[in-house]
Amino acid sequence: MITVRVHGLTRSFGRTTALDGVDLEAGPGVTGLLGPNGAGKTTLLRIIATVLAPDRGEVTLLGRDPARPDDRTRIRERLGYLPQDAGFHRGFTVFEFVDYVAILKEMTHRRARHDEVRRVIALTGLEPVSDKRIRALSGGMRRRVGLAQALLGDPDLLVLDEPTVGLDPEQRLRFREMISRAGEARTVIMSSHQTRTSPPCAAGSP
Amino acid sequence: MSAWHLDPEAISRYARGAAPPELAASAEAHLMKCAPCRGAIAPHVQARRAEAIWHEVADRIDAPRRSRPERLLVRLGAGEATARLVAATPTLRGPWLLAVAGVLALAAWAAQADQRFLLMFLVAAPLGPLAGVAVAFAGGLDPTREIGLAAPYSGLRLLLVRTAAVLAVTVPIVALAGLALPGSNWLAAAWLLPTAGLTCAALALTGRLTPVVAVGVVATAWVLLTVPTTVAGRLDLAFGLVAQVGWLALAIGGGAWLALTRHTVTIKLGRTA
Repeated sequence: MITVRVHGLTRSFGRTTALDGVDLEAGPGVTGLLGPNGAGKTTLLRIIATVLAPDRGEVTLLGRDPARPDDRTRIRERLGYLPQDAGFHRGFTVFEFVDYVAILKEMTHRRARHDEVRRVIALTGLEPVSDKRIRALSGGMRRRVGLAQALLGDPDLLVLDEPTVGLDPEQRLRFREMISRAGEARTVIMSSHQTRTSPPCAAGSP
Repeated sequence: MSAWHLDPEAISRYARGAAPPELAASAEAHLMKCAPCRGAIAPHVQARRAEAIWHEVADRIDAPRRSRPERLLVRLGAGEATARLVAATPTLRGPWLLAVAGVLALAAWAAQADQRFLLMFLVAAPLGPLAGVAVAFAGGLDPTREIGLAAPYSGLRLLLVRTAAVLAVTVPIVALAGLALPGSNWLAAAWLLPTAGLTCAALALTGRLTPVVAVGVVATAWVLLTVPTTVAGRLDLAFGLVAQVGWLALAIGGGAWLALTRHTVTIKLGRTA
């Protein structure tokens, strides 16, 4: 089953062409985008995450067209996204931050939302630092917070941009395991410029 | 161990949650100490009800303590989710508010020293709240902007929540600075309707422009309008009675346009799809 279909995708920034006629099809499992810095991976992932519109080309995500406002909202309800430079409100605790993103994901019922926040915090091994402020966490822990917010609501499509960048080898291994587990039940599209990150957990690299 | 035990009727009523408060309190105190009664009550306890109660207790205990601004907002009647969204608004951080207060205090102080600088205050006053709205959505200042763009939360709702929060904080700052102006001149409040009009115009433009660009366009138009007219001594053109009616009409028009197009226009919170 194809959940992400991209055809003839083109996107430029001024005179720089980031994507030029890109085709991609992906289904459940982990799909890795491998390439050097500046290859256009982030641009492609931002388009798949619905935060950037292409100049030309067709995009179908989870059977819907992100160019249509209603479809885009439905896609976003089933989407988890970890940007390359994921920022945090550093004054928030881990729980507060993930709860904040859960509110943006329209989880309106407080108790159910808190249950979901606790679930993703446990899933990413952040329970011991749940009440710690984000500014007090290491880079690896912050990356885990990023993954935790992306997993909120058990999304059908998970878009991860360089999820292991800045992590030490042990943390990378843990992250790979988490991403592999996440890919068992959903479509995961992740990018990396490190050949040691992508192949072991990716089902295929276009 | 206790010498007496709860009778079957009391056990049944307590387990169903039907015991009066004094009996419930007495039963709880006894159950803490009496293993046979705990054993006797176990078959009467409905697993689903016990789970729901435990869930509620755990949620109350585990829920994070709200920050001071969030507690204040909830006390003022805001929902806890809205309070969390407002707490994350970049414009509401201390340094930004201090900067706005500093600029306006300087303008008010200058007006005290020289009446001609009153004009500077009037031109600057609406720009504080307007800039606050822009900063609330500036990419470099909102660290979670990218994550927020990929979330299904309504752009219009977020725009209105943050704008209301910015205005609720910055307008009193401007008003306080206005009180420091010389004399009891009506001009001290003449910025209010222009601020409302300009803010609504900027909001109305967010269907086509990002908030930062929309505010930039509106603020530039404001400066181009007010500086020449006030320098020429024609304050009435921007702040007179007719002008005030015009600002009010702009506020109402912008608000009405937002309301009418709320289902058809996508608010551009960033360079989004």
